[in-house]
Amino acid sequence: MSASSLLSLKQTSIQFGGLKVLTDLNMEVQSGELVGLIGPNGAGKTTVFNIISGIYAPTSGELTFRGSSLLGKKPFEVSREGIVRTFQNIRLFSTLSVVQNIGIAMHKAGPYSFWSAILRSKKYHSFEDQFLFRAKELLEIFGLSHLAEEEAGSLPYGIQRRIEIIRALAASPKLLLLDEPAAGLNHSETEELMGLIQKIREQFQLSVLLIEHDMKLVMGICEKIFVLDHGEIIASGRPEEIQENKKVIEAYLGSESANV
Amino acid sequence: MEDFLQHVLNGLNLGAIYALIALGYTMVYGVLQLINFAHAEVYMLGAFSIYYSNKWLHLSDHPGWTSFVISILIAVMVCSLVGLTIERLAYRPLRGAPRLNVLITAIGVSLFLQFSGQAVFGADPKLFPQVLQDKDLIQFGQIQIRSFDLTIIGVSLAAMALLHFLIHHTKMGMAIRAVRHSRSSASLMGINVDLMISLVFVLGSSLAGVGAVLVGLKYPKIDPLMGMLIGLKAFVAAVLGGIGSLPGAVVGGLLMGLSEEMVVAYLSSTYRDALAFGLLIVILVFRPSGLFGKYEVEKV
Amino acid sequence: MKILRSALLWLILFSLGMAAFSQGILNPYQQLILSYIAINVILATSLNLVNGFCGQFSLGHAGFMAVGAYVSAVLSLHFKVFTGSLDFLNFPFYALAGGSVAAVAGWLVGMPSLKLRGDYLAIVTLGFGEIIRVILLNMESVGGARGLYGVPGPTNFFVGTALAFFLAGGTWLVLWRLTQSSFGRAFLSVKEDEVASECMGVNTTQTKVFAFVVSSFFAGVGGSLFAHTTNYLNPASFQFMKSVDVVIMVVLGGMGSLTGSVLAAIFVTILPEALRPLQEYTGVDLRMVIYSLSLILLMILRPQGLLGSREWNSFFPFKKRGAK
Repeated sequence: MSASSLLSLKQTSIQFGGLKVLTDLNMEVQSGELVGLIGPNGAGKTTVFNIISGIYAPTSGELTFRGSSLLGKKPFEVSREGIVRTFQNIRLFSTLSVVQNIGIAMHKAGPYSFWSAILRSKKYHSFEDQFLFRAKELLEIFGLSHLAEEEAGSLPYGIQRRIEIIRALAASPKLLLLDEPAAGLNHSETEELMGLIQKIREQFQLSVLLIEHDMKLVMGICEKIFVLDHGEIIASGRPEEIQENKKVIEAYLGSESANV
Repeated sequence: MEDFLQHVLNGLNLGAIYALIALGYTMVYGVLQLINFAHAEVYMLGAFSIYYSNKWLHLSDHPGWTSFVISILIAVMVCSLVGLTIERLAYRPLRGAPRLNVLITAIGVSLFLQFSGQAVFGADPKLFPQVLQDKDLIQFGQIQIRSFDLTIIGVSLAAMALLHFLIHHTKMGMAIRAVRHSRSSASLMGINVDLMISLVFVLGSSLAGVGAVLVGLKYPKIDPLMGMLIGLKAFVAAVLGGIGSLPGAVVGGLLMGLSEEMVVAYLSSTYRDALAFGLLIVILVFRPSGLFGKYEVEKV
Repeated sequence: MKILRSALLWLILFSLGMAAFSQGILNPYQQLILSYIAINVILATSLNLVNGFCGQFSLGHAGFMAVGAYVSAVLSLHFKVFTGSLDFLNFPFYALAGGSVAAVAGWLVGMPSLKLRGDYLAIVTLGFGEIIRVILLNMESVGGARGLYGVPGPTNFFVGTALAFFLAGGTWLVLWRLTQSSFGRAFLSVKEDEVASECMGVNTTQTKVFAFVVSSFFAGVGGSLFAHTTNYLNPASFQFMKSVDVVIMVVLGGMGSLTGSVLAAIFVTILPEALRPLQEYTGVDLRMVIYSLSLILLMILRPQGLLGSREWNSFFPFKKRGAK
């Protein structure tokens, strides 16, 4: 393990009942890296995210983030450690406004005490101001300032995807997990998204791990790629290595083919 | 020791009735994830249906198996109709609505039936017609086995066996199980989901009807609020067994009946109603999925 | 701290104003109704915190109310902090004590059951309410089934009404500020999507328990006010139906709207009084029939209740500030 290793999975497996979903996963994300996780449908990609974010507990193996184990941590603890995710099927708080969505990601353990909230102390006012400022700042980066007060669920799909990323950023992650951020986006939206992901990585000094079916996006921006098939990592490496890997081509052509 | 055996017998009696009613809760929960609060009132209306039909048919003038079977049939029919109507009018319009809304509706239906029952039948207790005579069958020392005890246990077992057959050995039962598994895939397989849900209400309500006659024989005082407590206990029994599980409801019901009888016999009868809820809290702390239930992880 | 003082000052002025108003215009019977409105406002707004804002479903509010009522009544029978002309100051103190014990009860009930899905909470809280009632029935030291007589209350109607409005206003103030804070957003996120909320760093179990404890506290305060207003307590006053009454107020007003709860509390308190002539004419308790039917119809036709999640300030757009 190199010194800058941020997240590492070692021999991590999970099974549901008798069904082995992931087998002996070994993955590593270095700090500052932009990593892709690809694989045919049903390979177990989202399960990897669910394990990392603490929703499922692995049956065996290790899971460490910045040198300390994440095993046994609940999702909110993982999130507070600095791993924040988005969801494949967007899970915004859909009846709340965009700003409120962002505010929830900034709540954490409670930015001020109950008494501060009741007495409206200085702390209360300073956080509420700071939160609105930050929300505005984040929305500006994505060019969505005008939507701050809109109901999140009523916005177009592509915008909801971006707001989910904004919400994740508001939780100040060190590692951002993006679950199919380009799903359902058209060509130009995808291009735009690629630019955005790179931009936020620089600006917020993040590492990013993303699941994606859009090969153009993955090959275009990822520095490292893991390929998952039937719950096992069948290949990993730089995009050009992956493109030529026999096993990968087989996995994709053998099952449902993505747009390689 | 003889005392104890007598209490076991009484507890099994009570438990069989809880089990019958618990089955209705657990089946509806299985397909709709809804605590059907109104189930208890279906049971209450079953009891009243016999009370009123007796005024026409005079079944209690000729107590015996014929009258008993006719009573059961009437109660089953009335309860099925009531169950169907509730499902059709109150729950079906809310298919797809948040679970909380359906739950509130269920509470509303339950209260509505209780209080309109009070308005229509009157709040004072009525005497359930004795359509079957109770006889002393066997007497060992102090243990008394009466014919009602055997009837209650026998009829409940028969009803449960019939349910088991319907659910596991018929095409309809397979369709119900499919709906329970996943409503959307069942409908893709060409199963009429609404029809199956209606059927579940018919089956559950029928069992409540059977239960109503049995309870009526054993404890003949009936009133419009009679369903509330027994319904809650039956629901707790279903949770104890693992909500959604049919064998769980039966075992939960029996355990519930036995433990209640024991509390009354050896501790204090004033705490009998608190027992159910105490038990519930203990289960939820230590084994929220109940004895036979599966703990489901939400899909993300 | 300056802000606290001004809020407190407004609260006192408000309660005195309401008391003076009711003293001047209303007869003693109407004043009593006004106190009942205050009690129901406390119960409905506090239950809304759990049922409306957090999307959980408690059916045991009457149980917590009973805890607050009995604790407060017993204290007032045996224990006085202020005497003489300051006697009225005892009542806020009793309310605080009753609320605190109810809050502890809320914590004990909430801890195990709030880890589970919402509908289990409904049954557990229902059960808790019944257990409390059975215990009270069996406690001879507080009168058992006969009830507890002679609970002291404020000596005149003016003080009584002022106290009622002080407690109701205080409840409103605390709940309003809480729901308008980051905690309020966390409550809503739990109702919207627990998994997403948890993944954004919100400890959902803790958040739910917190809301439940605050809600129980105010149920206890409401119970205390009830005890000192009626001067007589009986376990039968805290039956399941009482919890249902409060649920109806919350649903009617709109789950997630404190303003709605206040309006509904007023409506539901006055309605039986208005229905009384009809009741006497028919000789049947139609109140519950009407309530339950309206509950069903509301869920089918207008599930969001009267106001949905809107608050008073959304009707006055000129004062729009902050997150809402």
